[in-house]
Amino acid sequence: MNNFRKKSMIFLASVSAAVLSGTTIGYIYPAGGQAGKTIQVIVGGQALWPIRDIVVSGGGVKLLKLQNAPGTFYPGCWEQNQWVREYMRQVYSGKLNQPRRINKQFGVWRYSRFHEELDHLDPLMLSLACKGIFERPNSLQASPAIGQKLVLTLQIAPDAKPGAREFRLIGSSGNLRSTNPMRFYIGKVPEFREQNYQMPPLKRLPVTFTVPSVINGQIEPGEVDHFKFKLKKGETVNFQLKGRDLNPFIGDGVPGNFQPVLEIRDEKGRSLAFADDNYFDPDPVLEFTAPADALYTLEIRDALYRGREDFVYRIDAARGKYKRSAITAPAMDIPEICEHAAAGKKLRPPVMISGTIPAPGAEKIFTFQAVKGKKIVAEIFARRLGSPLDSILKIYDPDGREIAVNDDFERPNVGYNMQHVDSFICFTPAKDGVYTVKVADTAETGGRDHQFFLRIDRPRPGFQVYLVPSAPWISLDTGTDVFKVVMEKFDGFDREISLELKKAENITISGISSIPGGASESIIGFSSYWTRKLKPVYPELWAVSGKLRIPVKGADAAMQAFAYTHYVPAERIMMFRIWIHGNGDRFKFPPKFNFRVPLKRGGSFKVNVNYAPFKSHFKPAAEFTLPEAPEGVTLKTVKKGNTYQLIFTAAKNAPAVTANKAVRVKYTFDYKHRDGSIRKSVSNFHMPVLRISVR
Amino acid sequence: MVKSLSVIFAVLTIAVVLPAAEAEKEALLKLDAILEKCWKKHGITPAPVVGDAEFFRRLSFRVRGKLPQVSELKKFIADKTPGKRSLLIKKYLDSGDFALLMAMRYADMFRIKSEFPINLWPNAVQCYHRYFYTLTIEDRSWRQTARELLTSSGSNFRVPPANFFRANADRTPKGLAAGTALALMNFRTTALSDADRKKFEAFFSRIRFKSTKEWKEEIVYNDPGQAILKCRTPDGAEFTIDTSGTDPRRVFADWLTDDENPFFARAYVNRAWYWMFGAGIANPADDMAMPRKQGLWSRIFGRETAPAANAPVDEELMTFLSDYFRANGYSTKKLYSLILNSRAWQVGWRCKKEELARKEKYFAVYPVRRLESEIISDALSSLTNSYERYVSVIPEPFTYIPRNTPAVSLADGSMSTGTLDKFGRSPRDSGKFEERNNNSTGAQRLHLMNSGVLYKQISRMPGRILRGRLNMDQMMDLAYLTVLSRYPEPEERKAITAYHKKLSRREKWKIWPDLFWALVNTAEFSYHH
Repeated sequence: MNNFRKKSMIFLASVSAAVLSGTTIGYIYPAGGQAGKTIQVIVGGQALWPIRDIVVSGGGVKLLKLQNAPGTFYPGCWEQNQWVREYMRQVYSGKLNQPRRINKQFGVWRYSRFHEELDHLDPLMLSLACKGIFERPNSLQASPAIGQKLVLTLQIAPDAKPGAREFRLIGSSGNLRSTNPMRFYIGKVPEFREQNYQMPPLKRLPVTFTVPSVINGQIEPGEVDHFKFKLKKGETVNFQLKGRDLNPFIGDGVPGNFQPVLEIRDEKGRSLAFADDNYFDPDPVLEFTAPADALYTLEIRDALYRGREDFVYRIDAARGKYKRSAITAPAMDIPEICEHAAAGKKLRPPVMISGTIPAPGAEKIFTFQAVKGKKIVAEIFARRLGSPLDSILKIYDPDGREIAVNDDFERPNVGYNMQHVDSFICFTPAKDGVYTVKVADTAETGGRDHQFFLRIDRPRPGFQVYLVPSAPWISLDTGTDVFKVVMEKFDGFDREISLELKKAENITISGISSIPGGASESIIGFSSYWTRKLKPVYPELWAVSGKLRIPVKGADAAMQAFAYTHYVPAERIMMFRIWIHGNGDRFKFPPKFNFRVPLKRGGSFKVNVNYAPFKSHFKPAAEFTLPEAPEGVTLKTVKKGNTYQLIFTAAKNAPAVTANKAVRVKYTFDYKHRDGSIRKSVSNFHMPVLRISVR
Repeated sequence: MVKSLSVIFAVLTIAVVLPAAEAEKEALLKLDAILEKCWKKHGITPAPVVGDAEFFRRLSFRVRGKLPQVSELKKFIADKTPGKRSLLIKKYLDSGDFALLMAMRYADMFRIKSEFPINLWPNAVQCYHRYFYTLTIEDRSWRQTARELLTSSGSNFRVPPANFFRANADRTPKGLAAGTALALMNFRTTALSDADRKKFEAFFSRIRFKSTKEWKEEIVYNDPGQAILKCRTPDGAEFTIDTSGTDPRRVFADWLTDDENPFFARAYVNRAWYWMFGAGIANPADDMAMPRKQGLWSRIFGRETAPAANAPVDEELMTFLSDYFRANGYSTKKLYSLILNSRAWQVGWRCKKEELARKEKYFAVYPVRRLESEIISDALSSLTNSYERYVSVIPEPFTYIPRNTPAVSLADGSMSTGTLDKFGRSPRDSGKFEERNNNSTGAQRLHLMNSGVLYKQISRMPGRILRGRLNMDQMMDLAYLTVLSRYPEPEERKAITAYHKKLSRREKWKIWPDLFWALVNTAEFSYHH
């Protein structure tokens, strides 16, 4: 490729990349469809202009058409406003002729292609255009995270496997980058959705649905959705609503997720059944047995009468009673035993006991053999697996003395779970003998759903590493891109973890490729050299420590209620390579540098960064900083010709620390523009990740 | 064969159903007899029983929190069914409106409020409010409710009664003890000595709260520990509790809800009486004297101990109602039904000024009290067909309560409007009756008289009615029935007709907006009577 084309593509790419860096999906509505059908979905998000395609895990979903959705209409003048409204009324009444325009107003006529072809719009697009004309957006409710809309026409294959998928949008035009994933469901039963927006003074009418089916809707501010269904006397149906399941964390939501409620009313409007939550899960389940042959109304709303376009729900309507799935044991190589078999026996660890707290105030007691000095772990798996149990564990020694108690055990905010209530105890027996463990519910509730698995075992230090985000983009030939890694550590694991990247084509780990022992979060750098292949890469990223070799999972950071950050695991890691205007490849550490910066308190460490200048750059200057530096550690830079000497210094009272950090570079230079003028350019990038340790 | 079976069935039905109805009738007779005895004892002649229109209006406000509709009122007045008042009472007690009104009252009592100083937060507010609505609809036993409130553990968002201890500004054992005593015993712990109070607080010393990663969620639970607690109830009962095996809250709940407990039934009875009359049998209605056992000296010599200032005005009345409440499984609906069917509740409010205080004290006249803030607001909204829009900026996105939602149904004490605050809505900070200010103030009078918005809304009303082309008399009837739920008196008709004659031809149309406005500004509109 010649230099001009390369530079043009870099320029275009950098513009797109700047846009794509903020591209996110806020919601998909409806969040699923029936296999074998072609559906239209609205995707709301931000910076969606470069989006060109979709990626849906599991396959079977194809994008047929992508359109920008009509937004709010701001007329150039009052006459235009009236003209558009009159035209909309004509289209809704079946007439397709445009009303006469007053030509003298043409000067202030604001162009909108939707309003030039209202009669050609499909029903969904027409309703969105209508809403943009007749409804003024509530500026107090506006959220840039869902400010833009796309309408996608999707074809779902008849043999598409039912269940939850990961839905992403990807952008192109010289770049490829993915948005965050959203849940998308494929089902086998017919699907219904609430009526589209109706032109005033008409209002939405309730849709009548059959059972079994899936019902889709959106809750707007203060809105209560209604659907109708017929039942015969004695018939039982159950409704499982997915609201939080589709969008678990809303950053600017307080509470930080949709809190739906379900209610069933009779023909006279009397309430017959109501459901708010399903134990700890905000998504309700409602069972209903019809007292008579009648047409009933199903009502859906937010518990607090909030509403917004990203308050999307899906309701599975099925016949019969609701059957809660039993929890399944975690995948560990430990023999399982049920509580009845374990009762009264002196168990020998390792053992995984499955049990239930059957009634309020009940407790389960098990005994096990322990050897003096050999650590024992007692761990409950319940809430993490979906059980409503809020466990409390107690351990008693052979003399009956209580030696350990645990209620809640703090874990990283990974996954949907917001209550870390599964207990964990690790203790060292002071003598040989038979020890007792008691399991109960802290809230003294119980029932057949209060299931648990109790692991009595030796410690098995282990970990799970998550790469955040799950679809990182790596810039070509421009330094290092830095991403977060989050660790879940088990049974006191605290060793260093090495990271290995495989099947990543031309993407490599840049800098230190390990996570220091004891860290819960760290950073990792990736870099990529020039290539024309820009399709996403599905690499294997392995975390290795001793004999343990565990695949790294992808996760995406999500904020809740402006305050809490959670990491939502993704199905897989996808990496994108992207052109971006940068000069990071010009700055290099010495070839034999091992990316380690060992510091003594009061001491310093020096490393050179060699800079290979562009001939076209004048007055180049680089500023090196160390963001989020460890306490007491500072960075100074000394320039000597084309070499920058980085001097890391630890204060005399700096605490001992070992952490991965990346030096950030701000590179400025002047260049001669083709018009002859001298212009300034600034680029920011990272150096390869360093391991800084202070002793 | 069939005939004999149906006879057997009828006999069985009568044997089961009738005794219940008979028992209620008997209780009502007994209650009226107690009241008669009380009046006779104090030399008081009760006011006559009110007419149907006044009864209808009084019942509608006290039980549904709504201004009566003209069509309903006319139908009731014209109805000649014997026992129609009892039937109407039953109908209203079974309605969702009653459940909403009771939920509002419980919300005041149990401090259901999102923000400072209670800090329940919206999610807990809505589920806690719903809990009280549902228990009223289902007529759940008050004893069962109290036990649930005292002993529930779990998430404040997912287990509504767990909010009982959560909804306290002071969540130390001292604060929890004071809140519990106030809500369930109508008792102030400040009446106890320091030593006794500490022992009472010990019942609540193992209650803990833990957070989760969900915004503002807290889990309420009992922390057993390994302690031996010495606890003491206000009436002197002592308990030694080993917390490792026993939840002190359960011990307290067992004591409180025991049939022999001197506080429990009386506390609720007094509140129920207060809600229906505007004054308790003992006052202040939520600060009752501790029931006194008759001492040996007074038993021997037949002397009664002097009653405390906040003792019931009639002990026999209080005891009877408490016993009735207990005997009927602590059913609140049955209690309200008894009270509403009683003579005392249906007496008029008119009497000589010099007799008022005495007669009111012994319920020989119906106490005239200003309508609650929410009820006035809903009455105005219903009259003018324009409801306020309730918005809360505490949750995000903001809460927009659907249009035409009555103020009575607002769950959150933090969600309010200028009108509601002006008319003294309870801020729900302490749970005391005195928080709700039902006094008439200058600001309220000015609002009703001078509010341009209100006048405009009122002015639109006659327009709707005038489309029906009514004559002068019919218009006057409709105006009075709509606003005051009665027909105009002859003098009132005369005065309005005379005023109408004085107006010039161009101004004659103004009489109707002015009449409606004038009626809204009468005390008769704003008061329970």
